[in-house]
Amino acid sequence: MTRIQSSLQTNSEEFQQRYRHNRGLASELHARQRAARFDRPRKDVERLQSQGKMMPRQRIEKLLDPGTPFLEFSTLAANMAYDGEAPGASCITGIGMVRGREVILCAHDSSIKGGAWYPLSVKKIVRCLDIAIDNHLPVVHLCDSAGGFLPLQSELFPDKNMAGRMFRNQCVLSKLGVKQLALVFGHCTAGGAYIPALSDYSVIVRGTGAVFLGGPPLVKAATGEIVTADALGGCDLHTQTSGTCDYPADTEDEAIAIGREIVGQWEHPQKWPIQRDAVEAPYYDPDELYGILPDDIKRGFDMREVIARLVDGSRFHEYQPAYGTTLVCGFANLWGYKLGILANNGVLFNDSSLKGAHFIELCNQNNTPLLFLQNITGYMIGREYEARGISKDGAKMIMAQVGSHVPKFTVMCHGSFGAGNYGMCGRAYDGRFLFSWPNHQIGVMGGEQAARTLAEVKLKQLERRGDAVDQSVLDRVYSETLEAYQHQLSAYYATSELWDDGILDPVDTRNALGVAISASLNAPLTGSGYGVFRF
Amino acid sequence: MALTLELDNEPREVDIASRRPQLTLEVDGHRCRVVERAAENGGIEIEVNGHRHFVYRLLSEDRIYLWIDGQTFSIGYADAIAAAKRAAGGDNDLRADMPGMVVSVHCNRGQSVESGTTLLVIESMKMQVNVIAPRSATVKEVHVVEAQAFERGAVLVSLEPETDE
Amino acid sequence: MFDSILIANRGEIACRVIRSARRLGLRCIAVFHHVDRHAQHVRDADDAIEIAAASPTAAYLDSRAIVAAAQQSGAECIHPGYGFLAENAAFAALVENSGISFVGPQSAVIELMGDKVRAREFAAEAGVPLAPSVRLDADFDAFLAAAGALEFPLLIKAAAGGGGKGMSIVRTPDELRAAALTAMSEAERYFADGRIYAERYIERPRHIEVQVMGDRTGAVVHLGERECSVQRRFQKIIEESPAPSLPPELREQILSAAVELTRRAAYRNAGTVEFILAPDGAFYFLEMNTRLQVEHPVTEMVYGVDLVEAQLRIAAGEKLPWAQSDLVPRGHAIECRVCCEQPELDFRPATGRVGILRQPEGEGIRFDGALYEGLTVSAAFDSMVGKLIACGADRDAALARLRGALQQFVLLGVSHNLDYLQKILAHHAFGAGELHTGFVEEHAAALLGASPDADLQHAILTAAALSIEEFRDLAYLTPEPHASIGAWRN
Repeated sequence: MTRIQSSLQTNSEEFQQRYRHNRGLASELHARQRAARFDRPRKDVERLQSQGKMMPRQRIEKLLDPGTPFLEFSTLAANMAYDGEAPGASCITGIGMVRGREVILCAHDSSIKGGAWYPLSVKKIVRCLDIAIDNHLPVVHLCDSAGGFLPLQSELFPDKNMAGRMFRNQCVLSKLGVKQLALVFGHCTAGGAYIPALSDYSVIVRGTGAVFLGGPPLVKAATGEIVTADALGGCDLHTQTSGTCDYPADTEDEAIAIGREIVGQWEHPQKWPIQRDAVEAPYYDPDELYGILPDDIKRGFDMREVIARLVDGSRFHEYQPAYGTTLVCGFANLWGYKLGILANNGVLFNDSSLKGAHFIELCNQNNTPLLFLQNITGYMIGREYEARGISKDGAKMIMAQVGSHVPKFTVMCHGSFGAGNYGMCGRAYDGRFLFSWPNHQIGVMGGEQAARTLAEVKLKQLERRGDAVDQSVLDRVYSETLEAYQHQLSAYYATSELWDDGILDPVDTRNALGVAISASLNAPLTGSGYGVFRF
Repeated sequence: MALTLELDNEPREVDIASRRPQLTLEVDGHRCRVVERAAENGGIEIEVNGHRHFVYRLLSEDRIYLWIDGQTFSIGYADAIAAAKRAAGGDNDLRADMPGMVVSVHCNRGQSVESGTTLLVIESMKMQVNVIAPRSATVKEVHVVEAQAFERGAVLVSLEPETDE
Repeated sequence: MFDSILIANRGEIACRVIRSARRLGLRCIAVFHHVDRHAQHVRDADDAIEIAAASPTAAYLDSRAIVAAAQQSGAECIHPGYGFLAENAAFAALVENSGISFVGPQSAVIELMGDKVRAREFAAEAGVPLAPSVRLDADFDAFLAAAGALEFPLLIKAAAGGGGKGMSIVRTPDELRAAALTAMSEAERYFADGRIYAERYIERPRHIEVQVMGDRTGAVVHLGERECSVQRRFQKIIEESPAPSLPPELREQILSAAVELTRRAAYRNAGTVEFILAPDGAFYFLEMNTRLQVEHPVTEMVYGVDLVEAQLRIAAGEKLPWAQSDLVPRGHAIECRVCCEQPELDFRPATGRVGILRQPEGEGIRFDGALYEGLTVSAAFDSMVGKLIACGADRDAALARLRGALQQFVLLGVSHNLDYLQKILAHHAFGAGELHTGFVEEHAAALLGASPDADLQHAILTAAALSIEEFRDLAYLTPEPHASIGAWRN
């Protein structure tokens, strides 16, 4: 494959300025992640210590194979919710390696309000179990939670994708033949009791682990029975009498050691045989990504420069290089895996939409996973393009994308606005993993555009009513809209709401995708076939 | 979870730092680049941080016997679960897992027993079973006598906690 | 020559005797206790007869059963090896009276030399120098007084003891009474004979012994001296021939004294006369061992002879195979005793299964052992499992060769003293020949301890970790791309 010829001027003023800006964004990301992962009130840390418990991240590090990667999802979930009371949404999820096998880890973070589940905690856990289902990844649950955060129960209990979905997903995993192990370090209360009960294997720590559908306060309120947590649902009861848990452990270390030995019994998965070539590091330095991305969401950049700093050897086989040039399509290897890449270099026109649809079909024909690199403000609009059938052509691209049987991965490299999000495999489109960069913004339209539009709407309204046009009113509409949008457009808002699986430092994208692609191979390819293409 | 080995009665931790381009272990915090090659006569040539050594090794139940460049060492190891148990103090009570009766007692308080020694013979559900010492230990207390009946979960023999020698 | 032989022993010496006997065309019969049923000497023999006994050692001490086994198998002679019944006069008599030849001296001579008090008297009559000593007769207090009059420190010994057993050092007069009483009761318990005697204890003595052989005509030869000073609790660890730095006249005196004693006793077959050599050059008779000794190989290598073959010939009625003038020593030989023990735990005997064994070989290297991979070393017997001997043109050459051989020796599965032996041989004092029976105590600190340096520790722990399958799998079988990505966190 030919190497991309980079025309990036690393000495230019523009590069240097963008580089400083994006390095700053990356530093900010790392600082906020570090705080979300490790800053805890003194009293919460001391409480865990006094209970003889490890910090949840310590449990994860001990469980994982040494010298192997851990791809953590949504570290900054809930960072703009609940007044910041629930960093990471009180749970830690991700893909790691245990005894040479890829697993999903789902750990309750008991260093935050006893690990109680906020609405976004439930959403994050449901999401990681969805990932487990999509990719047929075994799950290790590290249980230590006080249960649902009752003040917000209406947002975490009743609806379809709320708490019940966690247990429904566990059953679906089991039905698919995908294994689950529960390590009970603390309480599994109420619905939480179903986590070990629905797991194939469970280990429980004597003294601190407990499983009960109703905890001691609830039991006392309901029947008047007074009983300790340990007597009600502790290790000895469940490993000797009820059979709800399989292995007793005297300490957390022992539970983790037993857990590793259990995973060591599991057969090695059959992964579908994707073509894999020798790995080559990118020829161009991924560090240069910082100098490519503009500091203005409205400005574009050449996606080939981004691709050159992600893929093996910076080699790229471009498809239809002269046609539909606002969508770059082509094949490349990443950590040796062959991928089909679709990347935006401008708005989507008729020809780029058709090219995208065709290329997606080629990738499905070749069993090549798809990587979507988004920087899209939308489709080309206007009378001429409608006459040419831009709506039909955009629809065809969406139809091809949804009908794909190959795994799909999405990275939000810059803007994702409007309908362009759809064709390029946005959140609603069942990509296996979706990550964004710190500079990313997402909305139905850009902030300024929305503010202008709403100010325009207000003007029209005032004119229709025959009111005097007060510029300051229009200005206020403009600035308030802009402010609201800025708040909700940012990558931090998106990740807080779990519209992605986490923000990545651009230079980490290659490793993240390597882990993600490898994980995706655990599920067999199924379900080929497209719907009707409106030609 | 790092591997804990015992050398000269001291616990030592060995972990894996990285595997590419060369296997690198972390031994008590020191980085050790490793290359292993099979050598003649059933031995192994192992290169650690550039120093070459000729090694024979023999794994037995809880010890690794190592001959390295003419010297012999004995390294203690336990699988992770046993190591975690030992670190925590382990379970020193031998309990009945079924109700039954004591047929005969073969140990007494203060006696030193080897791992695998029969301490009691008990009968449960028409089956005779030997209650054996799970490790070498000193018997702390024998809680039952011959012909005594016991319930499930009853503690039959208690051992002195394991000490590090 | 006999056509068959029964070896009333086990371990390396039994294998060694079988080697020579087989070369002479004898059918070899072994005896064994049940725990030894897989032993090398049983495998090497043509026939093997099991002896039932209450304990393993009891089997090899059962005179009647052994003689019965010889009669049953038609063995024409019995070689007792060393230890066990080798110096049991009653056994020797029983064998001879059963019409079987005993490969060793006459029963009466064994009895004479076995009684340390009588042996000393006999030696005195032969003009052999003796250390001043006092014997206990009926009067205990008289004994104490006389002993107390000797120069301290004293050595209290059992009259019926030997081989370094039943001895204790008394440094001050006030310890004497208690030590004497203890020695008497121990002597009674171990040797069924409570007689003791007290001798002046020589500090920093050298242990020098002389290999002698006599035949039925009364002819006697010596095969030089051996130095066996490096000992621990009176058990020899390292032996060599000739004794380093021995003035020629002194050597001649010692050899002559040994030969004179042997001739006077009309000694037949192989024996060793042991002396203590004081730093001032005075030498004193210690005892005579009426058997083939553990360390005989160093003599064999220096004189180029097979002592076991000579023993068999003499027992068969032949004359000595050599005249004194035929026996010309060449070069130097050093032996070290390989034991399954734990030097760091006060030399406690060790048991285990031999998992990996690589015995050294090569020019000038000899290993007399009974080990093989899969053998279980039990606690029932002495911890010595073999002897490693090296010879060379001179002491330095022999020492270098022995050290090289030890470096090659691999024994894994049971604790051993190979590293400890290496430290002794590496010690500058040993290289300089500064030997005396307190050598290991004097250099104790240098001989034990010294943990490996940091680099070696890392290599040890690395090699050990990679022998564990689970750790190996983690190291080598981690899939890609995870192995290449390594310990990355986003």
